[in-house]
Amino acid sequence: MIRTQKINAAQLTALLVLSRIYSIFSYSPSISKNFDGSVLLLALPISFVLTCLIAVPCFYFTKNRTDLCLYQQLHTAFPKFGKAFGIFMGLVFLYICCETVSQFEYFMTTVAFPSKGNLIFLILLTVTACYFALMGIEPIARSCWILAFFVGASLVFLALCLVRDIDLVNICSPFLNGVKPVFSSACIICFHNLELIALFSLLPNLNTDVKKTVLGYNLISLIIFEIMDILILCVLSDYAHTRTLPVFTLANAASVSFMQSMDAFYNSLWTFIALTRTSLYLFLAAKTFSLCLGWHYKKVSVPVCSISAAVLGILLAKYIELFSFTYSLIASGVFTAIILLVLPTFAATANTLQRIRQGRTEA
Amino acid sequence: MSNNQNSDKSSSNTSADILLYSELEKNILKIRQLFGNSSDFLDRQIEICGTKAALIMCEGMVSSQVYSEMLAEPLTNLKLEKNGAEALAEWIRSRSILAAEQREFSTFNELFRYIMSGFVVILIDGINYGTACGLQGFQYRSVSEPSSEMNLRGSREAFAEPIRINQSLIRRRIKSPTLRFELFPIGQKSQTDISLIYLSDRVSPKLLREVKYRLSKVTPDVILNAGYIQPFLEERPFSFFSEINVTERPDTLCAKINEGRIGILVDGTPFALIVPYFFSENFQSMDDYAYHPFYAAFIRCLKYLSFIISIMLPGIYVAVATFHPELLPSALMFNIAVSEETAPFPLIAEALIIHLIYEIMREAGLRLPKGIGHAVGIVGGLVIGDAAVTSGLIGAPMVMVVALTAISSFVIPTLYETVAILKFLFILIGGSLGLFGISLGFAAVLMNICSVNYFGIPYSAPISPFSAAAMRDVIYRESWKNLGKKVFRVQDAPGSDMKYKGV
Repeated sequence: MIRTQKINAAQLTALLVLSRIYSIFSYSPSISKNFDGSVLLLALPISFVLTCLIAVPCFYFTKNRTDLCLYQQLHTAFPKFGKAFGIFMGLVFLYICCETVSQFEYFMTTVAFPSKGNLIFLILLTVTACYFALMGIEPIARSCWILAFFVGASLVFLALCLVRDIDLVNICSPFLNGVKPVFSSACIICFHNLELIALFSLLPNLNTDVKKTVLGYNLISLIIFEIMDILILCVLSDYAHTRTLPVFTLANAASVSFMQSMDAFYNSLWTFIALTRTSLYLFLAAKTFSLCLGWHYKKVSVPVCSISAAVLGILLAKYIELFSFTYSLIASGVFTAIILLVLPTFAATANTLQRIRQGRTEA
Repeated sequence: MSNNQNSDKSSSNTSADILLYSELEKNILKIRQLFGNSSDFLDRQIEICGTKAALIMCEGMVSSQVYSEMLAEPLTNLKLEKNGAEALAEWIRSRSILAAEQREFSTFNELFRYIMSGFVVILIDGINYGTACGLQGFQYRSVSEPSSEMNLRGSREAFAEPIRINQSLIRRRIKSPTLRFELFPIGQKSQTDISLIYLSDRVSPKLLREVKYRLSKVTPDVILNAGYIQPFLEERPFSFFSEINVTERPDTLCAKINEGRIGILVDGTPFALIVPYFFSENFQSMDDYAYHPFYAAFIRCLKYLSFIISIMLPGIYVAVATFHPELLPSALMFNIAVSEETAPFPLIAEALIIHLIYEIMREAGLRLPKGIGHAVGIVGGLVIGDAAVTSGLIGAPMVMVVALTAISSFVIPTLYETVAILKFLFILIGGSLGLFGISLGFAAVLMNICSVNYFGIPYSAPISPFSAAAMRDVIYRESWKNLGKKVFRVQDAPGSDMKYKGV
């Protein structure tokens, strides 16, 4: 019998936080919605509450069978559409994977290494992620726990280096343009939280309480987001809106006596985070396809998903319109809404109706 | 079993499992036939109290003094009330002490194993079993100081080659009836003795079963050292890291088996295998437990730093100097630029050449006789340190890097093989991909460490999966007052699949 790989609360939190903070690291005003820093200060806590709320239907739907992942539970609830759900979810994971890979390539070729060819970064990242996925979720989560320590320490170091440049005058009222921007930003951030889907897809591998993990990783992500937002707002202010990647500019601005600037340092953090996210979603895509299509996980599913991610990533990297469309599609929250809200709510309702009908028949 | 059955068997088998005959002549003939007149085979046929008997041994394996005093003299002077083969066999079995270790056997296979292990075998005409007397007296290296795990305040004893000497070194340190030695031969031809060592009240039965199962799959005919069986205990032989480690210190092995691990001794090897082993244990030494905790913690931090330096420093240096010079302070950047100006090779080639030269020197110094080894060291120092720079082959900062890397790699001797290979890989990826490559490589190494899970116990524990309780002896070593309160057992490590109590 093949042993089910198990991960504990700390590892899972590290994994999800690393994947989640990718969105702040990759935040680019030129591609995504141009958020206002002061608005975000309030929008972020609101999005935290909203994220906890949107997890509720899925939590209630899955709470009785934690040995099955979200796809398997949907398959059980709707046997006729089981494969379709599986393929849809697998494609969503693959899509996120491609988006991560192409965005990484975008960062590397536009900001970090403008002189280098784009293929090398993309292929190497995918190959390494493929190796991670082949090892399984347990080693991924274990290494994430250690990487999270390095990332955390590096962020603290970065923040300390920037303390003297902080200018609190740049912070203004979040309601300067009314209430609407605050709530719309909170909704966008909330529905951009794809890690919730990952969490419910990892249910059989969990050795921990889902509720606590949802709260834990969102809270830690919130703290990191708030700190980064304050740093961007107070150090860069409006200059951030003109930059391709504000966090990179922030790292460029930071310096210590023995280092001229910390952008190369940021490259490493970015690589760790992108690798974590790519390997997580590559694992989920391969696992979902393996469950739904009966593919051999290591021999077929992982190689097929890795090659697909690399090829699609290359295409996205080549056509910037396609890349922007991919980004906006994920940012629109459509996937989160369908997988976390619509399908579980529908399945839970259908289950309840079925039980009521059965009760009446028996009566 | 009748002799007919014996002959049937012998036709299909050379020596294994053939039962001894009752007739002494037949036994002697069969032994000579199987032994093929080997020059070290000795048989002495005598008459004891009117009964024909033979003493069989291998030359050089038996202590002649003990043989004369304990065996030859009592047997030649023996006077029994009742003569006959049965009476003589009965006397040997129940009324004599001819050796400390005295065993009976009934097959030729056992007979050969005994005489080749330094036993003297007594065969009696009319009796279809033999008696083996342990009178070993072969030459072996005595117990000496450890050569690769030196320490300042602990014991100075290291394992020797004979397995029984090594067992006694363990027994002397743990005087508990729960300490078990399971001795069995392995290797079809060599019949090498190996000993499983564990504490029955600490070890996980599942782990013990798993180790025995894996040892049963050992295929080589000849087992000459512990390295022959190590791959059979590992699941992924191509991994850079292994959950099996070696020690030459009996005190280290005792400490490990006290934590529920299993030690494996192989006859002829002055090293013991330990299963399972954590990554963090590569950074511990027996001296840590003799020092004050704060100093032990400092030393351990130095060791972790040395590990990082030894695998990554050359790669990072090449990556930073080639791709990210802006990271360095201007003064240092200019110094590097000036020294590299005169060097004919790119930095990556310089790093590869100089580390390759260093590895060649190291290997030469290690294999040569001590006197010449020192000379190689001096030549190496001159070549690497001075001549290479003055001839303009490499830049001076690279010498500093290679020296620091080399010294750091000696701090963790158990990981030297891994360090040597990873160092070159990091130079290659650092030189071709910069810090991006270094980051990817670091993550891949981390994944390699985290994926080792050979016995259902994570190699990366207790760092990941993390356990604050188990971290008491990882980076900061708590005082013995706390460590002694609860014994850590390897099966209780975080993330372990073997959370069983001992038998």
